[in-house]
Amino acid sequence: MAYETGKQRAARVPLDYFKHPDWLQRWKLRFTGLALVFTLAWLAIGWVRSDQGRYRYSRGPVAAVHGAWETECQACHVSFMPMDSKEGMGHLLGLRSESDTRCVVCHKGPEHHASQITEQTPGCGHCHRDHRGVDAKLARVADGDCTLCHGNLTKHVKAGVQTEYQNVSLFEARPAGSTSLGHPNFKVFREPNSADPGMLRLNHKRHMTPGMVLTADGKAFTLADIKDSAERERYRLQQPEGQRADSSPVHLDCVSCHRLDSGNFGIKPDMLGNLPTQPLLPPRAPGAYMLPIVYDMQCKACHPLDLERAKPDNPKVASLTLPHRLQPQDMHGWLTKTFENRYLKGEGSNLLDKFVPVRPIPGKAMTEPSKLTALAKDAIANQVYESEKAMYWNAKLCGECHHFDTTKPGGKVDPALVKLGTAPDLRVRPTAVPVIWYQHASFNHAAHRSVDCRQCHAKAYPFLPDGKANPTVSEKTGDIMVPDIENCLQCHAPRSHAGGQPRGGARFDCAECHRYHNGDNPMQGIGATAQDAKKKRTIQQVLQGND
Amino acid sequence: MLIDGKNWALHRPWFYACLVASVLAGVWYFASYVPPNWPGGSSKAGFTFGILGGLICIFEMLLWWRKKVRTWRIGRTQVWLRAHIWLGLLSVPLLVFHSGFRFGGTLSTVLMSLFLIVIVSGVWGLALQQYLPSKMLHDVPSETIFSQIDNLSGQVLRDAERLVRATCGTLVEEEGPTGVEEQQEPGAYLTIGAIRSAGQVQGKVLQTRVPAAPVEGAEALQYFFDQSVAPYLQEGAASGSLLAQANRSAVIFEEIKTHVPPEAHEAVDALAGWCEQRRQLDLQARIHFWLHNWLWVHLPLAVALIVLMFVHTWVAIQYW
Repeated sequence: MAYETGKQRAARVPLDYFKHPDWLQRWKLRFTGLALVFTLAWLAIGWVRSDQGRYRYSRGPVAAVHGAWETECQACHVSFMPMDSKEGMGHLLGLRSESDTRCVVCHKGPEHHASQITEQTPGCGHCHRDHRGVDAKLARVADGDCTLCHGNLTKHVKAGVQTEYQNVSLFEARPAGSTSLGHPNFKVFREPNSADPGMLRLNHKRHMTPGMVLTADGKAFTLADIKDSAERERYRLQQPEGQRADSSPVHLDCVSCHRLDSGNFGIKPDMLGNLPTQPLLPPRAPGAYMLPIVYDMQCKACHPLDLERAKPDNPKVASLTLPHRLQPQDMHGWLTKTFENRYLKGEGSNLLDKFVPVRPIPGKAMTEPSKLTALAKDAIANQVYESEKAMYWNAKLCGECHHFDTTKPGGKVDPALVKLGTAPDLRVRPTAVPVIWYQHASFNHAAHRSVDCRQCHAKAYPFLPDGKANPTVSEKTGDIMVPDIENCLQCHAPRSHAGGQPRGGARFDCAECHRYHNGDNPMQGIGATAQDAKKKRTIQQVLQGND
Repeated sequence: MLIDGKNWALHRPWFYACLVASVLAGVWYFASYVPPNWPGGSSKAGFTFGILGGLICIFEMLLWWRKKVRTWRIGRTQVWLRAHIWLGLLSVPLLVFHSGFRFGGTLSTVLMSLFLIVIVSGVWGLALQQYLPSKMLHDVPSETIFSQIDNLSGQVLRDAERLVRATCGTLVEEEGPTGVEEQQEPGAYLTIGAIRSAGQVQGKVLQTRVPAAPVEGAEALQYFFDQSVAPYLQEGAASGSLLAQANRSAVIFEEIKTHVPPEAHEAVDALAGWCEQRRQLDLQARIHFWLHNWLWVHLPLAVALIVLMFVHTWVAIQYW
């Protein structure tokens, strides 16, 4: 084939060919120019927008709680200063994080504990990392941020401070013999001889047994035994179907006393007497913890403080119901005044069947008036004395539920402290029934509402699900009926299958149960003033994120 | 740039250096991991990788200038290209670690997207360079300078036309810038040549020799040339001619020979040779296109990447 050789082809090529780019090179340059133009145009368009392109330059959407400042970078950032100066390049370069001053403008973030070493405490931005999407939970910090200190507490508390807390590495059962791995059992179970601190006598076994009868020949407590008609109706509605007649034994279960919402008590405000309604029946309770036990709501229906009951055959004897919440000294005065009033009105008393002095008629001279007065006083004093003996030492009134103390150091609390004519040297011990057992953790009953109470509070039940007697049922007030860590680990653990049974899967990070800020005041909530903003600002100032 | 057994020794140090650097970077990064958050750009590891990755990106862009300004004596271009390839690959783990495995906001998403497209296009181009040049060497022995394919084809067309006219007896003498010259030699053959100029020097290259005297009965050759060969030599495969296919072209030329006297067969062979050359040049154009079209993506996006990288650096440091 007589076509050209390479040399012949080369002869056709002009020597300055390289000065003229081919169409591939020309388009390459055109596309490059276009790319540069588009890029600069994109930047310019961003600049002329209302936020001057700040949303574009953001490293990611902020959490929804910070959405108002999505494009107000200065609300949180100090220019050229790192958010976190304890770690990362900020720390390496020795820069101080001034961004914390921006955070506290809205929420102070009080310190965790006064015992922690301030210099080792990271700034806000170290734990609360934003720009991770609108659904990010800023308070949901990583476990590593907690175990940074709690993994070895002695290194992170001030010199000379003894901490009562143990090291933690992860929420799992602590291996035997370890002091740092896993999570220790809850404090109430670690302390020797620990018991329920409540000073209110309550036998769960009795209360949870229908009719409250524990012996075969015992008399069942029925609806008819609830004297107050309004209360009787309230408890009738809680009875199981078919057990709502007056003769039916009263059935109590957990919700008879333990409620998450005040609306479910069935209490009408006028049933509370002079007690403040709003604090006792708080609207829209968050449902985390059971509402406190209040005598007037959960106890009075079955445990009325009736010192005397009116009798049909003796109309002169009126009912006498003792007031609640009076210490013995004040009760002594109340009783004295009550009986004096009764005497003056001519009302009888079952405690006065021995002697009723003649009441002097006003205006008529009496024979030996001082003697009659003295007799009346003695009789009233006796009434008070008998009443007090009944109240404090009879298992039907105050003494049924309350513990007492005496002011005498080392003194013994016994019936001898009730004396005729003087107030007894007794003091009702504060009931101290814990509303929150795990003070340094958060628990939410509403989140667990699909779980049967028995799963965590088995000791409260006198019978097992199969009807057999529960051998672990609580009969003493001091019994602890809250669950320990093993109970929680059934769900709050890594997902697994053991013996074909699922286990775990619920979150078990530190932030699931624990809070950081204001740790020295564990019983304060999110509304505490310690968490308030540094100062109040106008709406515009808030939206702009500055002062 | 070829990366094969022959020159692997030159690439090997780069490969191992980048591999070791990647592993060390990974070890440092994963050691910095505090669940559940991967270290971000402001962590020690992330920040360092960001700086290194950015410097690598700037170096990668400098290759363009290194190739443009050939008088630069800062290392051989081959070394620069090797560095461009291997440092470019090293930048991938560095910048992915720097990102904390997140695209983040708009700017960082655009940046990472541009970066990945630039990397992928570069790898694509590198892969093509392992295969296509050798294919071109093997399949295109008539290779010429890509930008001169049309110019060369035009010259070949003119030479072919003159040859056909000379064979068919319709040739008219002409001279022009290409210096086409006719020369009658004893033995009745025509020489078609080209004159080249380089400064004050002019030279002549001789081409095929064909009978100077027209061949009786060769008119079919002229017709065939005008209808089929000329369009194909002019436009190549874009003409849609059957001559673009080697097998069919062979059949066609064999058939043409049956329609012309044997004296014209040499001219027919010459045309067949030029058509074969045209086919090769077409193939060269396609191969050349694929060897270089990835740069339409790689370079523009790299420029955009660099611009946005500076913006990102400024903003990131302002609000870190």
